[in-house]
Amino acid sequence: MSLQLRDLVVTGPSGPIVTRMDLSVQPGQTVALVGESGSGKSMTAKAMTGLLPRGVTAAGTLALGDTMVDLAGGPSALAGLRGQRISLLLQNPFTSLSPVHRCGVQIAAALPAHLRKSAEEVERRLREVDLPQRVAEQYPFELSGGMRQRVALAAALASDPEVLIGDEPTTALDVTTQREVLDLLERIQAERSMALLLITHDLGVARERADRILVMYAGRLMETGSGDEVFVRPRHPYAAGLRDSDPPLDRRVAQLPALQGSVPRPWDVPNGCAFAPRCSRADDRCRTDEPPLETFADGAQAACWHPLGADDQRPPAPAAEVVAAGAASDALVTITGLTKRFSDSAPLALDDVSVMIRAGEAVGIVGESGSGKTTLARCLIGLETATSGIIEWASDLPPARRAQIVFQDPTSALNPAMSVGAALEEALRAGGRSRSELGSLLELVGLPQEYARRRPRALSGGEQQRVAIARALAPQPQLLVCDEPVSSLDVSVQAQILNLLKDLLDRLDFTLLFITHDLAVVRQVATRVYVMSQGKVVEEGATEAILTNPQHAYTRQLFASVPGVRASQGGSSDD
Amino acid sequence: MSSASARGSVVRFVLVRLAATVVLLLAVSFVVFSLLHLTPGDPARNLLGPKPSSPEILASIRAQYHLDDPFFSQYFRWLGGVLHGDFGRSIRSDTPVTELLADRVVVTAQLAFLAFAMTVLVAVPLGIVAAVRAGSTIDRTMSVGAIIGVGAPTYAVGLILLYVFGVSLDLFPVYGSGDGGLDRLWHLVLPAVTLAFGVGALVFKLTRTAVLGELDQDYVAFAVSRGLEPRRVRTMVLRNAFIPVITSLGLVFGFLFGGTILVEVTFALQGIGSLLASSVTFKDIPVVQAITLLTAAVIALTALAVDLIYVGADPRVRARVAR
Amino acid sequence: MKRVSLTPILCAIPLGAVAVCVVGSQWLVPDAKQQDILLGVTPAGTAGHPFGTDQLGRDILQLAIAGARSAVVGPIAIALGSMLIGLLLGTFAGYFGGWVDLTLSKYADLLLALPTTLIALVVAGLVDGGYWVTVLVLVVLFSPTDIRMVRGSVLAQTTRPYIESARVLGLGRFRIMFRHILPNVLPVALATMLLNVAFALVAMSALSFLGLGVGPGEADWGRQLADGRDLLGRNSAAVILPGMLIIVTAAAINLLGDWLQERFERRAAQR
Repeated sequence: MSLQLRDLVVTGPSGPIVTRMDLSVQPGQTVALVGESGSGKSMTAKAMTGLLPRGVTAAGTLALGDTMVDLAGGPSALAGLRGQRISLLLQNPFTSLSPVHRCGVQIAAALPAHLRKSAEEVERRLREVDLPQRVAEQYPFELSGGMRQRVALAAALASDPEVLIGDEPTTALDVTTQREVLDLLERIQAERSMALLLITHDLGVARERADRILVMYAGRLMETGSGDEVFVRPRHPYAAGLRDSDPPLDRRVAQLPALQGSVPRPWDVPNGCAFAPRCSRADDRCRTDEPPLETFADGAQAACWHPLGADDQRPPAPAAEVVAAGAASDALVTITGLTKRFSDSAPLALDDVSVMIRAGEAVGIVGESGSGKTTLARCLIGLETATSGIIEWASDLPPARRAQIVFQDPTSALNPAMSVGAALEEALRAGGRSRSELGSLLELVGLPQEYARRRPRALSGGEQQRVAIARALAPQPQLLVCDEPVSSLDVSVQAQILNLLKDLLDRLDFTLLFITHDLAVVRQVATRVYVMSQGKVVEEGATEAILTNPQHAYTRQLFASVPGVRASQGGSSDD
Repeated sequence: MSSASARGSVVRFVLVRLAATVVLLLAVSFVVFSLLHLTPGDPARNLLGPKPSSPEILASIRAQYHLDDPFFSQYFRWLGGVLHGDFGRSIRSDTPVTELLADRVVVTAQLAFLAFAMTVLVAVPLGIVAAVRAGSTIDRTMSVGAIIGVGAPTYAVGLILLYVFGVSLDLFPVYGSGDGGLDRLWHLVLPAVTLAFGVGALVFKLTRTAVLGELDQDYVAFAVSRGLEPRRVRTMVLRNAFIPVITSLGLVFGFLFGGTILVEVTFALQGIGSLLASSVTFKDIPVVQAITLLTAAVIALTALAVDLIYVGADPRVRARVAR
Repeated sequence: MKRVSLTPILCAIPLGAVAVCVVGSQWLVPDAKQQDILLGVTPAGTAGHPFGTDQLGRDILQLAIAGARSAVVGPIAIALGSMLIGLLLGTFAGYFGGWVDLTLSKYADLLLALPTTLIALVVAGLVDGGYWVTVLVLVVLFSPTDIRMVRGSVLAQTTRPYIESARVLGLGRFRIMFRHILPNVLPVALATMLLNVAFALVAMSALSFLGLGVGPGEADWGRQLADGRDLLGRNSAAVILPGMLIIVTAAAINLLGDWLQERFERRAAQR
């Protein structure tokens, strides 16, 4: 039976969060709801399961087969559907299970009443998600993230729902685990011919797994269609911009065609089209009248007054020539046999790692969580002391002039008690430069002068990361270490920051060490990469060579796991 | 990890924790013993009290208490006595301290347990209700009440209760500890309510925070979305909230013993709290030493019990201990 | 849409009145301690004595107004003093760790092994030092919780990326401590300090209720309560007025501190 959501409106204390939202999912079908932060995709899932936070209300109807529910009736109206016929899988496997209850008990709790006491049934459910029987007796904290998410999946499926809503179900997982869980979801969905609504920010996941994609922006539906319709022939300029901002895995481009500006909050959207302020095609009409969702001949839909036609499609950005800067220069820093042990019981965080960075190079380090890539960066920058091994710098400059770092989370990277100007002036002085250079420093990272007076809180995530980059560059360090600098940013903002880094590399004289889990991102920035796994460097070489023809089994598996790449080699295996 | 070795690790944890408690109590006992010498004036004169003194009497006291011995040998002699239940003689009443305490400890223990029971039976359920109904009028009224209750001084509350229920309405006895049995209980109701008022407010706040924190967790949303009955979800939340609530109850037990001093003085109960207050004024140092050490022991043992319950209640802690 | 909070306004009224009494009692009630033994106890409502008089014929209302000073000044000094110690030692312990941290936390453990009231009673009672010695004892007793609080929030700060960035910039330890860490700890410290004033108020008046701290014959709420204890049947106002004053003042400070703390926490959460 198909799931139909009609005229969903979600309203929070500050104003509307989701406006005029329709969607439907058929049995056996996968529909992906994609959008950046604040697009309202998560709130849509919460409204459908009656889990809205206090002070947030919903209106609209939800129909599953013959059952119709008025969402304005609150959670109690959903009583017969939620849990029994519609189930939800949450993002974070570390928090979605009760820490003090055994996994078996948590799966059994939602089983049909006559099966709740049956150990065989729990075992059968565990087998369905490829877990051994012993897991029933284990506590969640004894399992890895991927195993926990399988337990959560088994628990979500315990009541045999017709519809499963996955709210970013694999976002917190490593890319190889992500593929395993997505494969598992796909298999179970087919076996049960269940409807799957997949909520994700990851365009690759959506394109690879969904039969139909809905693109949300600022609480509104902008475009719907199949993967090809949305990503190959997008009608809405936002969908096109989103696609273009996503860095390609198969080639390096000179600049990512990034969207300007940042995602607005839904209640701050002006009259007219929500996307108009960031749209190059916008005219007066776009700024006054909100466009309705139009259906095109091929079944795709878009809410735009000036949809892109076949002639408007921008050709994909061409592969740029890779200039291996610094390939011939001397070593800036040489790391030899670095080992780091945090505790006697834990495995080595770094295990005999040797890395050499030449002056002027852009070097990437790729690895999943636990690979040791961040520990390596922290040892290099002096925030951590290695247990053994040598870090040898070619220059005898003070440490602050040798290397600076940009962290992942821009919000906590800036002191909330200090204005942007004060933070940057302090960094300039630390590098022996004059405070009068503040203006040019802001300009360098593309921020207006008046931002000097602002507090970090008043900045968007992308702007905060620009300030963090400016602060790191203020002492004119020889080496800039970027530790996952774009992984907590929205796709459109991520492209802006990547472009900024590439631009800075061209304009300034510094060496870049770029640490990331994302192969597509590293391809855009680095000319040479080290691949790390479990504290060891497993492969090293020119980015183009490694990403075109990976040699090590781990690199190949990593490559094959990237969503959007259905690779024949390597493939996924269930443990 | 086999279950036998895990059990061995738990035993080791208990032993280590027990040793830490003993070390803490030794440190407290050292400070408590030093009170005699830290009190201004000649220790011998202080031990003599207001009785007429002469050089001979003072000399005999010095000899009796070995005051001319080195400090540490005095301490160990005293500690040896304490371990055999000998705290010396009260200066004021010239009876053995142990005898003096024996009568009074019962009253204080009854008062403390009655107040503790009231706290657990009233404040914990109310805290749960307030958390479940967070933001409602009931919750806000109770929360403001708790903030006032936490800060309200025991003796002021006690005197006002005494006035309202004892004097004006004449429902409860005004003074004294009664003659044992039901009469004793009858006499202890108002003092226990007084004591439970402030402590209960604290437990209410801590319980509310703990349950509210659990209700915000993802696992609750996930349980609700799977269609678990509200009763099952509540059980799950309470099982998780149990851990911080037990901790706060342990903390509160110490607080309770501080409170008994004021309540006993307010209601003229013959417990060790009122004895301590009068002994301090009288500089009856052996009695003060005994009561202080006794209280510290009760609190340290409570903390030990809480830690052990903790290990039993939280599988994560159990795993860390067993490692 | 901002909701104006009533809490600070409602708390400001009683606190303002208490502040007026603290500052102006010698002009408002110059004869508060005047005894009239012949008059003795009179019930509330007696002409010229709206709340009646105590055994010594002192006017209950005047005595209560005069008693505001000793009830409030000491607790403010206690809260300030212990937070000063807390900020200094807590920042050092949190930032440097090692033996400094270990020593301070063992010291705190030892003091927390016994109820504050008991230690204060024993120490202040045996030393017989009067008001300011009692204040000093309570500063020492209050400081471990402040040290712990500050240490905790400093520790939470030191692993934040902005502190690590400051270290990578090569800034000095003291600059990081005072310019980067302390400004982010101060709001919480302020709220805690306010809550400490309320606890100290209760603790101080508890000690004077037990006959410590304030000399006999002095005007003080706790003392007044102790004296009024025997008058319950004859002039209950002698108990109810100072009792309510302590309860209301402590509650107002507590509500204000709680409100502040919640605001700071919410702001921190929004970051």
